[in-house]
Order: sequence, then C-alpha cells, then structure tokens
Amino acid sequence: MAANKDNKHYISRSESRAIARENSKAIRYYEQRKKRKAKPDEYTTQMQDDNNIVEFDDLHTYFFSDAGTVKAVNGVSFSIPAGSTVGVVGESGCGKSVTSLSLMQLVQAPSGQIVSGSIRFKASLFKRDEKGKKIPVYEMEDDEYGKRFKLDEKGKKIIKKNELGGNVYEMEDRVVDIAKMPTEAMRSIRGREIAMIFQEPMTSLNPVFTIGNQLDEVGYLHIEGISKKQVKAHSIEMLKMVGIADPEGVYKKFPHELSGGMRQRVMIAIALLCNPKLIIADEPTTALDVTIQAQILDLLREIKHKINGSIMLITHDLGVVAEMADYVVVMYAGKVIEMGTAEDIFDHPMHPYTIGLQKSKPTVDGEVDKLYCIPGFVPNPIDMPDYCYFRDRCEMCKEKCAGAYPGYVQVSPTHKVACYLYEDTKEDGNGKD
Amino acid sequence: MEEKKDVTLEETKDDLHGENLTDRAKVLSPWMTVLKRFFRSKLSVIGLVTIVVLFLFAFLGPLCSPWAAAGGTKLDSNPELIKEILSATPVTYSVGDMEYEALAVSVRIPQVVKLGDISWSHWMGTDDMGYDVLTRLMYGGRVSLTIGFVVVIIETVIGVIMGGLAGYFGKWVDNVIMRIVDILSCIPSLPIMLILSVVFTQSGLGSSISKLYYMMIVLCLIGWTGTARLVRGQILSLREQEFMLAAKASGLSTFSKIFKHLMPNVIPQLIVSMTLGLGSIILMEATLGFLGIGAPLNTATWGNLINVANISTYRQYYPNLWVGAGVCITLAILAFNFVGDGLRDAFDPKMKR
Amino acid sequence: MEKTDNGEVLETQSTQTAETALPDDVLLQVNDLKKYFPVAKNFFGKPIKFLKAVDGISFTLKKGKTLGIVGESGCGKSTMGRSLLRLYDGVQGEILFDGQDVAKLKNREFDKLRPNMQMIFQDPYASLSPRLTVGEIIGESARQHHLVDKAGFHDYVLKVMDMCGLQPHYFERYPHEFSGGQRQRICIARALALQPKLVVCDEPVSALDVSIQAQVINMLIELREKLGLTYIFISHDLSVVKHISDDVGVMYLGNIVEYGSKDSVFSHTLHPYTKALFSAVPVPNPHVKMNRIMLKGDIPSPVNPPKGCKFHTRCEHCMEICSRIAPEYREVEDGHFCSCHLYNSEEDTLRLLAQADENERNEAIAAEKEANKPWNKAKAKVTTACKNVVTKIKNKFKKSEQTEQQPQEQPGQTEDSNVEEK
Repeated sequence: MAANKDNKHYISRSESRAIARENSKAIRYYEQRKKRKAKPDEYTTQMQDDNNIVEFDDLHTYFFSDAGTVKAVNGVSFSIPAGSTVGVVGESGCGKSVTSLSLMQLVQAPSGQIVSGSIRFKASLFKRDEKGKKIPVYEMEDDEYGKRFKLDEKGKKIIKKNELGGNVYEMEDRVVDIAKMPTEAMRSIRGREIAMIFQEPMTSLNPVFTIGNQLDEVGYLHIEGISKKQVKAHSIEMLKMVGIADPEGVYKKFPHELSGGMRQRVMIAIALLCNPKLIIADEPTTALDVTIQAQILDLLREIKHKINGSIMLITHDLGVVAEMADYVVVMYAGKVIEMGTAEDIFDHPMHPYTIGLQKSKPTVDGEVDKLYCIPGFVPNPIDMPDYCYFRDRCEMCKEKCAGAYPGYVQVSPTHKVACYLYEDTKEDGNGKD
Repeated sequence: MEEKKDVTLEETKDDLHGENLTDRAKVLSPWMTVLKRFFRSKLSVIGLVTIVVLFLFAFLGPLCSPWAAAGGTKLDSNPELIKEILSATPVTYSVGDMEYEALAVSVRIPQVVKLGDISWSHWMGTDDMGYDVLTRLMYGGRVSLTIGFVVVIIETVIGVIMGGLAGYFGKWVDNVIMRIVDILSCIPSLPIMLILSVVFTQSGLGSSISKLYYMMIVLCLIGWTGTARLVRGQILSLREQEFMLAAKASGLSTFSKIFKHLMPNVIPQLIVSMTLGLGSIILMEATLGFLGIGAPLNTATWGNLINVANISTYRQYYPNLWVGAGVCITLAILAFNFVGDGLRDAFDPKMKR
Repeated sequence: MEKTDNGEVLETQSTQTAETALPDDVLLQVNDLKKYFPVAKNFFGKPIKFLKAVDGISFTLKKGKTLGIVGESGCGKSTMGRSLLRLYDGVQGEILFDGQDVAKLKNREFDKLRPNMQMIFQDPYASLSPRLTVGEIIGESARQHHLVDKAGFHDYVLKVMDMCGLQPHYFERYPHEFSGGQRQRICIARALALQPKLVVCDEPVSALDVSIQAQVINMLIELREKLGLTYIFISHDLSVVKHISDDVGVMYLGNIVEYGSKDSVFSHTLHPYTKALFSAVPVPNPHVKMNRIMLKGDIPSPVNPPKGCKFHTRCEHCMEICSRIAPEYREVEDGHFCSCHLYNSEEDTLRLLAQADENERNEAIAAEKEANKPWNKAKAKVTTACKNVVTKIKNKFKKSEQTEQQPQEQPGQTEDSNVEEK
C-alpha cells in the first residue's frame, strides 16, 4: 500500500477535493433547473423533420463521480422516424443506455445530469386550463333546443369515456424538449407516451405483488376514471396480446412463479398498457436464452405493427439489430460514430470500429481460422482527450487522426460516419457530382 | 522492497510507450473511496470530531489540571485541604498486651466541603469530598473509554472465532455454536451484573477498580453473541460467492480460504459493529455506576459521577456534580453511533451518493 | 467398453472399466456422471425430492482437444463442469482423469490433484476476491501447491500475467480497478498459474463485450496451442462454441442429447432440439430472413422433468412414443451420438414400446401398492374429507357468477389444507 502514495494511477487528495467541489456546484445547478416551475412554452420547440418522433440533438449527459466527470453521452445526435425500429449498438459503457434513460429523464440523479443539448419529442399532452387542470370532454346530447350537455341524476355533467372506460380529456399535439422539461411535467409522458422494457426481467417486477396488481397499478395511474373491472379486463387483454396462453392464470401469479421469458412478456404487457408511441427496449433479450430470445423478438416485431409505434432497441448484439432494426446507430465512448439504415451498416460498414465489431463475432455458418479482434480496451470515460477516441485501437489510423475529433461525413443520403478515412472520398464524390 | 522497485520501473517504462486510453484516467484508491464516502456525511464528521475531543479531554486533560496530582481520586489532591493540617505527632498506646503506634494528626476541618461552588479554580465546582469535579470527569472518561475498547475487542475476538467456525464449517459445528449463542442470548445482563457485584465485593475486590474490569470481562463472555451472528451470516453469504468457489477449485488450504478470502470481506461490517458496540458498553458502565454496583464509589468513572444524582439534594441543587458526566456519556454514545453509521455507508459498495 | 473406429469418441454404460484400458491420448473419461440436488426434505432430514441437474452424462476427451458444451440456462451445463472438478459434494459416477478415478478420491487427496484441473468462471466480477491484489490472486495457489518458491514468486506471477496479456504494473492493483475483459484475463491467469492439464471454461466470454470476447477467445486458442491444454468449453453461444471446439455436446435438462465432432453436429444436425437451437441464433445480416423453428414454451423445471423424452413437450416432431419412454443415447452415425426416437429402427421402436408398456404396468402396480399402505390410506381419507369441507365452505361464500372458476381453484386449496393436516 505504501507504493500508492506516489502512484500516478491513483487520485491525489487535492485533486479529489477539487473534483468534489466542482461536482457539488454542478449538481446543485442542474437539480435546481429540474425542479423549477416552468411554463409549457419554455420547453416547446419544433421538430426538424416532421416524420420523426424523437430527435436527439447534441445531447450531453454527464455523471459527476468522485473520480471525475464521466461524459457518458457526449454529443449524441440522431432521430427516430415514426413507425420504425432504431437499433442503438455499442459495447458496455458506450452510453447507449444513458441515452435512452435521458429520454425518459431517468438518469441516476443527483450524480447523473443532462448537461446540454436537446431531445425533441412529439408528444400529445393534456390541454390545461389557467389553473393547470386538465379539460375534460363532456358527453353531449341532442334535443329540441339543439346540442347540450348530458347531465346525470345530480345534475352534473358527464365526462365522456373512451373505449377502455377512461375519461376523455382535450389533448394537444406539441413538440417538447425533454432535456429542458422540469421533472414534474415529465411525469405525464413517462409510461404513457414512452414506455420502457428493461434488461433484467427478474428484478424489474416487484416480487411481493401479483402480476395483475402491477399491471392494474399502471392502468389506474395513466387511464383516469377507469373502473376496477375495466382495468382488469384491459390488463388481461394486454397479457393476451403479448402471447401469454393463460392470461387469467398469469394475472393471479407472482413474478417468481414465472420463467424469465414469461416475465419479459409481462414487462412488455406493462409497457403496452397505455398505448405508447415509443417503446424503449433496453437489452430486452440479453438475459434470455436464444430460443426464448427468438420468441421475444418475434413478439416485439408483432407488437410494433399492432400499436403502430416506434421502437428504440438498445443492444450489444449485432445479430439482434440486424434482425429487428430499420436504422442502426453505432455508439462508442459516448459518441455516435456511424449511423445509417441496417443495410448501410451491415453491407457497407465504414467506421473501423463497426467493421471490427462485425468481424470479431464468430458466426454459426462461417468458418475462420483466427478471429479478428480489436486490440486494447474500451477507454475509461473520464478525462477524454480531444482526438478520436478510437485512435488507440484503430488499425487504419492516419496522421490526421492525431488532430481534433472527426466530424461526420455523409457518405450516402442515409449513411453518416465520423472518421477521417472518408473525408477525402466525400470531397471527391462531391466534386464529381 | 526490491519487488516494489521493479514495479515502479516497469511503470515508468510503460508510461513512455504513450498513453493508453484505458489506463489514462486516474481512479480512487480503495481507501480513498471509503474516506470520501465517510467524510461526505456531516454527521459522521461531527461524531469523529466529538470522539477525538472526548479522548483529548480524558487523556490529555488531567495533565493541564492543577488538581490532578494524585489522579484526582485522593483527598489530598485538594491543596487547600492540605494546608489545614496543623500538627502531626507520633503516639504509642497499648491495648492489652499489644502496643500500637499511630500518628496523631490535628487537622482543622474546613467549613465542611464547599459543594457546587463554581469558581475560577474549580470550573465545575467540587463535590462532597472536596474533589474537583472537572478533573474527576477527565479521569472518569479514561476509565469509561478504556473499558469500552477492552470489552469490544474481547467480544469481537470471541465473536469472530465462533461465528467464523459456525459459518465456514456449517453442519453440526454451526448447530452447536448457534445453540450456545441462543442460550447466552437468554441471559439477562443486568441481574447477572448485580450478582457478580456482590460476589466480587465479598471476595475482596470491592475496593479496587479491577472489580469493574472483571465484571466487564464476564459481560464479554455473554455479549459476543451479536458479533458471532453477524460474522456467521456474512460468511454464509460470502461462502456461496463465486470467488470462494474459485478458491476451492485452486485447492487452497482451509486456513487461507478463511483468513485471506473470507475475513477481509467481513472486516468492514466488524468495524461498524465494533463502533456501535463501543457506545453501548459506555452506556452499560454508566448504568452500573448509576446503580452503584460498578467500580468502587471513590473511583472516578462517568457512571459513578452520575451516581450522586441518586441523592435528591444533589440532584436538585448541585447539577454541576452530575450534568457534566451525563453530557459526556450522551456525547460519546451519539458520536460513536454517528461514526458507526457513517462507516457503514462508507463501506457499502452499493451506496451511490 | 465400446470403441469407435477412429478412437475419438468412447462411449460406455458399463462401470467395470479397468483403468489401464484407457488409451494414452485420452485425458478425461466421464461415465454416467450424476449430480442431484435435494430440494425437499422430510421431517428427519432425508431428502425426498431431487433436482436432477446432471442426469447421467458420459463422454471422452482426448488430450489437446476442446469439448464444447452448449445448452440453455438451467440445462445443467455449469453443474456438470463444477461436478467434474468436485466443487460439489455427492457427485455420482466415474471421472477418470489421467487414468485415475478422481470421483472416488478423498477430498484431501483430490486437493493435491487440483492444479491439474482448473476452471474459469463466468462472472469476472464475482469470481475475484475483492480485497486481494492481482498478483496475490494469481500466484497464491501456485505458492500453496509449491509450484514456485518465495524467491521466484514475483517473477513467476509476472510471467503468467504476461502470458495472459496483463501489464506488469497491475501486480499491486485491486480487481475493482479493472474492466470486465481485464478481470477475465486475471481469472485465466489464475487458472494457468497452476499449470493445469485440463481447463473447464464455464461461459468465460458471455459477460464480455464483443470486441473483448474475440480477444479472450483468441488468447484461449493460443494458450491451448502453446501449453497443450485441454478445454471443456461451456457456453450458450453457439457461434463461440463452434469456433473453439473440436467436439460438441448439446445438453438439455441434464442430459447430452447430441454429441459428435464439430463438423458433424453443425453441418449434419440430428436432434430436433439442436436444430431449433441453431435456427434461433440471430445472424448479423439484415438480408437473411430466417425460417425459424420456434420452440413452444419454456424449458421445463428439472425438478419435475417431463416423462419419456425430456424434450417432447417442446418438440415439433413429437410422436406417441416420445411421451412414454426416454430415447436411448446411441451412435446414429460414425462418432455422432444422439438420443431421439426419430432415429430408431423399426425393431428398436417395437422393443422400446414393449419396455414402455412394461414400465407403465410396473408403475401402476407400485402406485397401487403404495396407495394400499395403511398410512397412505389414512392420508387419502383425510384429504378427501378436507376437500369436502373446503368445497362446502367455498360454496357458501361463492357467488353464483363465479362458479366457473371453482374447479380450477379447488386442487390448490385442498392440497394446502392437506399439508396442514399432516
């Protein structure tokens, strides 16, 4: 232990004190920003492309840790078109999960904070009156005097019900910037507009409540005015939708009585309860066996068609992405290094990292003598240099790579890559055109 | 030492190779991580400072006190009293066949003892025997704090051995030890202490401070059960960890499995339970002192100092005699609990705050 | 002992194997390996119910070869690996290692042999003692087994670390400072420091990222060539197993259902489970549209495995015989073993059916005998009485609209009360 004193590997006491001071300052600032009372106008924006449902624009999410600031998401920009599946691929620690958590504003606070950038989301929010209350839609009836409100026995106006039995309120479509939204306002989007499926189906269900309980709870929370019976019917309907053969039986069971695959189905059912526009699936099949994985992926594809929504699929498995995704985003050390359609990425991978990643996975049908492997390890995300983060491990490294972090090169209308290797080709291509 | 030199040499060589992004960032050393977490909580810092102050007060305080000449426990420690000795003449007298020699001392007894007289020379006054209360408080701290450590260390040693054996070997060993633990937990400590006090006093220990130590050692013998349970539980869960399986797979000896792989992982919990235990031992001593069954009454301990509150006049009119000790006890226990809690949070790897 | 022509795969059900009969190039032969975990005990502590994690496995492994074991979680592949190294008590069967039956050795004697058989664990985070330095973790056991003296300790450990791609200045660091890939290298170094002959790799790469996986796999292959190691490579990842193995065994619920050389298993798959498993692997190519064999449902619990062929509940080729009697594990092709009724000859089928009939008859007789015992008779009486009482009470409280659910709920309720009665 004595050797540690002058060991450069460890943080010295004064450095650590400086880090702590910086951190507490930063955390206080961002926490206050999240708690502030903001008018909806403050976080209303415009979509850049109206086809998109989500647009990440230069998002930075940092973790203010004891060892220094971890730039988990360091300038990420990509968008999710409506009705499509976007696969986010990368190794552990590349920031893919933090990106999705930022979208839900679920980054582990107080150390984790969205620092800058914006996440534009096309939400349909409740219209509010001056007092901030939701405006209900009332039941109308026609009589000889024209249209008038329908009244119940006590003379009260009756709120219109939707097909599930929930109250109908006036809605408005609005593009919000989630990065700037206060936590309070975010609550109406979480679960209702964006739902999330987590990696570990073993731990994401509460072991002391029945499956039915947990489904109903979400139903009550997001569908106002729904009755007990209707919630139960809806929950069972959802269980049926995710391919559970005996929904009534499962409704009464406890999580520990179900297998991993069944639990993941239940998680998907919970996610589907409120008819979300976007489902974030964070490594939904990593904890499952291949045969079960195949079932769940099949289900996700089916569900997407049924609810006509979009899926943001986060995974490290290239096979899963190839099978599921329309668009692929490859991340490395907090940055997007390449993005494009699935065909772009798998047929013409450009970035040395993407190429290496695809070569380093053995396949069942192919045969290679020696696996290609990317040398070195994933960098520690503290104190990153300003040159390309992949330079150390890159075999196609050029002189230019010692310079600033490369910008994006648009190699085709749908395909972008951040690498100096293609800068010349792009210029050439432009010249010829 | 040569080995270490090698390592540093290698290191510099490696640094020359150019920086590697993986190793580039510095990390917190294991101890720094614990310290940082500990000092993040204000309460634990307050607790630590209080403990340090109490120790300084008890162990260095008497050195600065003018009344500390003979440990603050003897009558002549009060110089004002010594002045009052007028004459001393040897006398011989006989009773029956026997001849006795004695010293006849004529003393002017001061105007009884000045109780509760708070003055510049006696910041907290003097007690009914004429002792300086502040000095006695310092000396009392020595006894109370030392006793805490002695008891906790003995308790922990027994507890670790028994709990370790039970947890590691399991089966019948576990069964036997845990049943002993169950039986010992049934024994109420206070009545036992009352009986012991009588026994020790009858066997001639009544007037010496070692009576308290003997009593406390007996307390250890029935008090290790908590530690044993803790250690057993920890080892049971650690034993199932994969690294223990790995240790088994590499054919390590039982000794090194227990002492190199298991014990270091129990130490954090042990430190926490020891810290929290210190507070309760001090409280135990105070209880015994208050009931008058701990150390002999003329010995200064915090418990004995509180004992005067049994007399209603003192309780009512001379709070300076016992409030100090009460405050010290409260402070010490609170401080140890704060530090214990702080340590628990600091050692817990799952804490992310 | 049965021996195939090329001598590569040996299979035997008999236990009378003479130790001298093992050919020189065979390092490990396992005969009918079983490991049952008791899951329920009666009042006197006698186990009455077992989880059959490994239920009779036999294989032979030649020196310098790699045996890949694949299967889903819960199929007993990890338990098998650990049983081979005697990390569990109460392992049944024969484990012939280097001509010595290690299953029969006493624990203390076996500890001396442990350096020869090492293991790499799945979780590089949990398998390293958190409070020991890397150097100590790697070298500790080598010192214990007197493979190295005190003076040479440091150099020896550095040599092993270098072999596994660890930088020398890691010697003094603690495991928590490393990433998963580096930790797994530490685990490998720890195993190799003992100069083993056989290394059981229990999912060594499944917790690692793809790029790190490739590094570790390449390193394992290199080390195999360099040190002449023999591996048992356990994994759920078929592509990895295919890359590294010479022979492949596919496990399902404690049994090997298919076994053979890599080429024969992958190119000429026999067992329906293996086929489904292979087709379920997603291929990183968006143009490939898989026609997948979707398996129905989940893997059954190994406490109550299905009767007959354990796979018949999920099998798409399920026949009548499958649910009645377990298929024999036999050599269908040269050196390619499979246990499936699909490959039975006519006479086999008839013979098995006859056997199934007889088994069922015997079972029926045994069950009747059991039921006629006085204790069980009394129990049955109490059970029916309880059932009646519960039904009556239920009927009183039940509303008429819920009567449909009643039959479903009754069994559970009555069983509960039965237990109480006992």
